[in-house]
Amino acid sequence: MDSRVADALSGELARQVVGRLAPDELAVFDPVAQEYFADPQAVLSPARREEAVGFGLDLAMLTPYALAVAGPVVTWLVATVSTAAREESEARITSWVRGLFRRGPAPGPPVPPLTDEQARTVHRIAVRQARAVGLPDQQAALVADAIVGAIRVG
Amino acid sequence: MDAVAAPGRPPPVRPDVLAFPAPTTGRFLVLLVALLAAGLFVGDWLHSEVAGVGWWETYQACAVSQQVPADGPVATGTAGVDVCRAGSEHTRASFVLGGAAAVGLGGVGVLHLAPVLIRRRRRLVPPVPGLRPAGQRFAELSAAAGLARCPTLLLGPARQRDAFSFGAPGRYAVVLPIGLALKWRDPRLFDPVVRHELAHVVHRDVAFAWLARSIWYVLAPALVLPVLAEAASGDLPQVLDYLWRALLLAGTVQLVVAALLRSREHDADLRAARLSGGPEPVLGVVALVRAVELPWYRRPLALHPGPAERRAVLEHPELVARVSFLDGFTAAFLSGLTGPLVVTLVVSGAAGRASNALAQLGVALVVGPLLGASVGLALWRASVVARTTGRPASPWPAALGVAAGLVCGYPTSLGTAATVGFGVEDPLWFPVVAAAGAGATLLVAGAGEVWADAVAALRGPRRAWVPAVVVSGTVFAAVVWALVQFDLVLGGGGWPLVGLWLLAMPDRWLPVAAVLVVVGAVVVALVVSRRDGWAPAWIVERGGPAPWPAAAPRAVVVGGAGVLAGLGGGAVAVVADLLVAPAVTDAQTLHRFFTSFVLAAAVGAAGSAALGVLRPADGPGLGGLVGPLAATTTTTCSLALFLGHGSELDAGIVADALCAALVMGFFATALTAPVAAAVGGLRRRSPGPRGGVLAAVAVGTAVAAGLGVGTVAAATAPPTLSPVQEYVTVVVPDLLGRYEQVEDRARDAVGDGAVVRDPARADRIRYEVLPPLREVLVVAEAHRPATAEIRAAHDRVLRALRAKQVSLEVYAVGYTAADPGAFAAAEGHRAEELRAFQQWATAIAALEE
Repeated sequence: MDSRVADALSGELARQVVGRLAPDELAVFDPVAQEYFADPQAVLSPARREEAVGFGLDLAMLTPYALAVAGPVVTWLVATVSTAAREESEARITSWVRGLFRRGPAPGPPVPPLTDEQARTVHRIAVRQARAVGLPDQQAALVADAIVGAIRVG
Repeated sequence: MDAVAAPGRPPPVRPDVLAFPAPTTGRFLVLLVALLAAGLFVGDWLHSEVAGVGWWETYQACAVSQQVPADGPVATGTAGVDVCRAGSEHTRASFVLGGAAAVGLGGVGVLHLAPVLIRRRRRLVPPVPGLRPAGQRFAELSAAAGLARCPTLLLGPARQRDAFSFGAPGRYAVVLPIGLALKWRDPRLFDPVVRHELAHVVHRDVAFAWLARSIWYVLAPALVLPVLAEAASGDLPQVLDYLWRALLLAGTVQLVVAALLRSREHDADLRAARLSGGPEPVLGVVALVRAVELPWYRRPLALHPGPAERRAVLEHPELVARVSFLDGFTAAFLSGLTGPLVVTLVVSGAAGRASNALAQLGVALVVGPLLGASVGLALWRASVVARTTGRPASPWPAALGVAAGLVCGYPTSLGTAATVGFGVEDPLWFPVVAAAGAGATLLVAGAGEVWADAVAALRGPRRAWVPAVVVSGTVFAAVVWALVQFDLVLGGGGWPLVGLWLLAMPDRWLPVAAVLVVVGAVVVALVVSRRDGWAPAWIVERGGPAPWPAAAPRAVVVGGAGVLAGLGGGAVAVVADLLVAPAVTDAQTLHRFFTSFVLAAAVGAAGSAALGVLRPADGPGLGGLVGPLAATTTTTCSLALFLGHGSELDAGIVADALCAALVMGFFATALTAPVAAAVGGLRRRSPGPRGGVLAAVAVGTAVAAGLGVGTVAAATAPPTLSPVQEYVTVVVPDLLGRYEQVEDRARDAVGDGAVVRDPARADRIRYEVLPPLREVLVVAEAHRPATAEIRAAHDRVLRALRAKQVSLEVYAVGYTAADPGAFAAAEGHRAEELRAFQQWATAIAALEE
């Protein structure tokens, strides 16, 4: 799948997560997502800089982490839908994955939701990725729950 | 959090440490001055590269024209030489000052350019429209912080996680991480952080921090130039000598800036706490700060204190008022680095216009107030804050820091590069400087303790801290001035000259001013302090009311102790006068006159030291009153004795005597204060006696000191000689010895006196014989014969010397023009000289009979 398409899908999923857990960040979601996709590592693990005449805070937003977690989840969803759709076009697959996101009525024919087993797999992927990018366990679980909550589950 | 008060008692006081200006401001100024002084070095180096050869040639030519050796300290201080080379020195001064100006202006330029680069590189932007309410809240907090002009609010990119401030004065900006700006509705997070940053702006932390960095960005490359130039010329020792000093300066700048910024973070936390109505909101945000484990070698470079330390200061603000060893060391070290460079500038700039004494004054007036505004202000603040908590603050760490800083700073300055022995003539320089630095600090701290007594009666903080800066600055200026003079005198004539300098110290108005300022401050403090005072509102942030009793004795007791000690010294003078035969010779009279100064100074220092032992905290400060009173009283008694013996004393002599005693006593007090305070500290009985015991010990110590001085004076007194004996055994041999030296040169220069044209001989007579002969004549004319017979004899040697002078001058004319008439006249004057000498010898023989 084209990386821009994958980024767009990740962004949509992450926006829903942010909307649930940190809705105030939606006001700046687009510029933050743009910065994240340009250099994910720089946003997730910025070089520790001690600011002269600063406070000493290390205040991170949720958005970059949501994007980081959404990426592998979208990758897995695409792989899952692709296996089921076999010879369908990329656009079709994209549409189906988008249709999985719990965000009002989806365009085109209805998309079958994920099974419980698939939802648990998504949760595991999300938790693992959230820990990998440095989120504490409690926050990792919250993000994973929000990810699953943003996807249609049967 | 504040401790819970015991039932029935008022809550513990939370002192407002911010009522005083931050001493770190003074230390920032010391740093900036040190950096600009390094710019003086760069300018001087550039001068030596561009115009050094011409400068040296002018220097040598002027030394030759004034008949002084071209090397050594004599050449630089001779008035004729200075006038001769004034032009080239002024050019040098222009280069030197230009170096500092270039560094300073360059730094200011970088200060204004850096914000543009920061904004661009860090991709800082104004808040998006959705975050406009955050900007409004920011503006409200800015107005509440008292800022007339609201700083610009900028947001960083997503990778920006901390808030910080930057910008040039008048155009400051505060940068917030997006995550914080989004939480503008959360007063527990947004408000304390913003208030902290605004506190940095209000406190001028941004200006100081960025100005120091900016100047360093300009200076560092400039300091590399001499290294490269010397390396290219192959002068490896010079390169190494210069390189390690430059590296030491570089390391010091980084450490000092980091330490100052850490300290200012505490001030910003406390200001934010004050604006938030208490420390709790700021404590809540500090709890979010992660403690970063730094390797030990990176901790001194950290720009923020750790969260645990920040919590401790927020809960106990008095912790930030402590004055540490490093506080004293950094201020004194940077001042020591600065001194020699300022001397270079002032000596060059004043050449031909004013004496070199202006250089010593220049250093003192630059360094003294800076030490006063940093170390002195910190010590006075510590005394006041300690009263609110009941936990006394020790001045010893700061005193030891100042001592070590002065000792280390001067020899490692760029201004002493390429000097032998790091510019130090005698190893004893180190303990003297250390003792003087520590003593001045203890004196200042003691005065601060005395002034703290008066705080209850002071209506505002300005009346507490302005005297701190004035008194401390004057004391440190006087001590620094004396140390610079001491260094020059020691190098010029060794310890004997130091002794003479102490007795006849020229241009001593600065130490006299220091004595008077300290006396004035102590008197005012003792008079206005109350036994039943209460802590004033301006020093209390929370809690109280807290009693504020004066700890020092009453003014009458302190003043009485000083006068009684002085009378004790006067009694020693009277007894000595009764026991010893009257002075007969000039030498004896002079010896007794100077001994009276030493006696008064010793009595004053002893009285001060006694108070330092009895009352370690405020004793050195009280000694600032007791010492001068005792010295003045003893001097008055001594002068009365001289008047009783028929000496003619005019107002000038009396004033000189009093000033000499006061100044010597002041410096003796400063040098002995560390020992006195150390002994007093061992007693562990604070605060010490207040009444009769105080006065008795002061008197007893003064009398003991007086007896000691008297004993030494008796042992060193010139022998008792009659005027004739003095003339025959002292004056005549001295004049003969000088005459013989000149006669040898004259015989060699004049030759056989043949009538020939010989301009070289003429020059030798004029430049190698006549000048020393004139000096002998001056010495002979200065002698005041005690009797008419001696005067008659002495007139003969004066006639002989004058005849010799005329003879040599005419010989020089003769050799220039090959004039037979001149040679004949010269021989006639020579014959007159020999006749007058014979008559002198006959008169001396007659005197001896």
